[in-house]
Amino acid sequence: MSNLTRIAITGGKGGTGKSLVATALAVELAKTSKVLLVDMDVDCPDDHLLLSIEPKKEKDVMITMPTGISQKCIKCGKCAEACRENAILFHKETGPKFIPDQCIGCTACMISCPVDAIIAEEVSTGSVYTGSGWGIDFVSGELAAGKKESSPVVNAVNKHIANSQEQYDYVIVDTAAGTHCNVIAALRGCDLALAVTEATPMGAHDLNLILELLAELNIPAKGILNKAGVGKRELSETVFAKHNVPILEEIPYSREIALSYSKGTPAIVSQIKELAEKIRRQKL
Amino acid sequence: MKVLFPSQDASMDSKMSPVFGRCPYFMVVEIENGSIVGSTPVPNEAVSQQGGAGIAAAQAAHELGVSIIVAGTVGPKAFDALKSLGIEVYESVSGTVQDNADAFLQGQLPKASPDSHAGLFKK
Amino acid sequence: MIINVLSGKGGAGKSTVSASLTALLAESGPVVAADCDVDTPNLGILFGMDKEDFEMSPVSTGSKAIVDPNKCTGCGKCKDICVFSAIDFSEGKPTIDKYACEGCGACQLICPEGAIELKRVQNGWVGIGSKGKIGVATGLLRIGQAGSGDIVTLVKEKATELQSKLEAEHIVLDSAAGIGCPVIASVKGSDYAVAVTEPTPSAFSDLLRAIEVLDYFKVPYGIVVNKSTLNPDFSQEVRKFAQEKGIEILAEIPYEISFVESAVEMRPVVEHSPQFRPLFEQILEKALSSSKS
Repeated sequence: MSNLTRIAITGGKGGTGKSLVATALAVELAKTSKVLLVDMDVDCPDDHLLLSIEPKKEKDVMITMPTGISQKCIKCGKCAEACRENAILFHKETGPKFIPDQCIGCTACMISCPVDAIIAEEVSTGSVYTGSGWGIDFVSGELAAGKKESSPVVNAVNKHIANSQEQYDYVIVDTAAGTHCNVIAALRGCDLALAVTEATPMGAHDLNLILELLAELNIPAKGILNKAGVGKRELSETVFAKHNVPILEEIPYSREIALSYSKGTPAIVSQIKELAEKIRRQKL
Repeated sequence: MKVLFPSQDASMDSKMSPVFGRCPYFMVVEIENGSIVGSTPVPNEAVSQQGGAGIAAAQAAHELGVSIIVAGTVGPKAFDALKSLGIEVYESVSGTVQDNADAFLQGQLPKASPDSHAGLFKK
Repeated sequence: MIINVLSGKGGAGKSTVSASLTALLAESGPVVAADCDVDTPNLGILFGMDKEDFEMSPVSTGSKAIVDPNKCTGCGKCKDICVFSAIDFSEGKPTIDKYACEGCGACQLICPEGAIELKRVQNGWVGIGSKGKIGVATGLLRIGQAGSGDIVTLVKEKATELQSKLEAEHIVLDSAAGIGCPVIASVKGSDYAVAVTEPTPSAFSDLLRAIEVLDYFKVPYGIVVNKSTLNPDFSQEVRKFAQEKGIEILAEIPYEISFVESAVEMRPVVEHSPQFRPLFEQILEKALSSSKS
């Protein structure tokens, strides 16, 4: 029976300080426990920069894409019909033409072809990286620029840590901003989500949506009010109250944090230490 | 030849639809020897499509045997798709389908280039 | 002209810049703003708009797979074929994770028993609202649903319809954070992009990725360094980079508390703190003149 607690750091709005909290919390917890930090913001992974960790590429995340047709093609048009992403044009005389920018690599076209005429190519859609530093182990994913689908890369990161994560006391997952499929994929299997927000109307608006998502996914949530002292705190308090989510910690805006941020060192201010302590106590 | 006009409604007097991919109707106009010999409204199934409606609309146009479309805004995906299917795009003017059909027959409509299609609004 | 504002990094100031550019354009005629951050659409807030100011309609841009357990023989072919890890097995029968399912239909095609059906789902809303001379097209992804990129495409179409109706010359698109599907959907077909960054290593790293996407889709762009005074040394690094690559720096905006205040008061910066107008006018002028080159 593993002792693992998987904690997601999320927030809906970008720039509220998810990565800052994720990296600082991970390093602080690692002083007493075994910690794995996972950067699942595969569009724009930043955690390695915040901790000055040099990540090492573990593997490429491959998807299968159609690139052409062989002589076997009987121009039946079934591939174009099967494609729900409109990634295949079908010309009555010349047959199918593939539109790579639309393709999500589902292989429906290849399945539907009655004569196996579609030429497939393994294409990299992103990569999985690992690293370590500051007493933590680190895994991250990176989407290939120009590719649309982030969730296959997030899933690949999840698969990569599936077995090894049991050896850790804490797995801290840094999610992307927003509420769409790559955030949902990152939240999978988390025992707790820390919703990081700021006291502005936009922050409150987005907080409402992420808390709705967490409720939908049945993941218990606690609040972190970052840049506390800036903006109007009632805005955030109202939203947290509406969802019955307590504010676990408030982190004031400080020069110390801004400095750590630009130097690539974890911003372990007193509030992060308190946060880590609260989490340790909850676990026992 | 068949020329397609994206249309708000099912008649030649309908206003042109500003977008091609998700226009409610295709007015398919048959032209022979420089005059209109027939017109058929076809509901655009791509309206309710998952992604890439422009491409689906281009596919539908191809299946209808259309060789030219006259449109205000054609998204880049749809533009490339039309090109791949051998369908030419001409720029529309404001007004009804009939106005545009007449303008087309009089050679008043310019051909659209890949750079002229995105975000262009004709006053 | 379609001007796209993006950054890669969340919180760099996309919406702040979008709102002020839109407000400036509105001074000379009708303008359309499109909120392409459909996960968390909050651009309207900066114009002082709220939910009641918008008329939204439900949209369905996707489907989800559903298994009929009576027809299913438990062969597992569906689980093997699913590239989105959406199918698992429990007690010999497949369970489909509705959050992971992308509705591609591969499982339906591979199932030898015809036990899988694809059902359309209402995955969001799109709509329009207006404030003075500003027409706003927006969208909202339904919680837990997929297809944010497709909804962005619908928002752009609404923006085009609105542009036609209002006889607006320009559309300002506020993108989502990141560089994935919803951002790609907003970038494609834009005439010009304003890439907003901050002087930090993370924001700079994200900017580089955003620029890769812009180059990939061949959209011309310039850079805005927001909160530039927070780290003047790093701002200098960004300037150096831009110079080396021949990228234009449209403006450097200082970090001032008035920016937060204007957001809290739900007004564009150019209205709340007119001392910053010249900076935004500069961005706009450079963006608009780029289309002529």
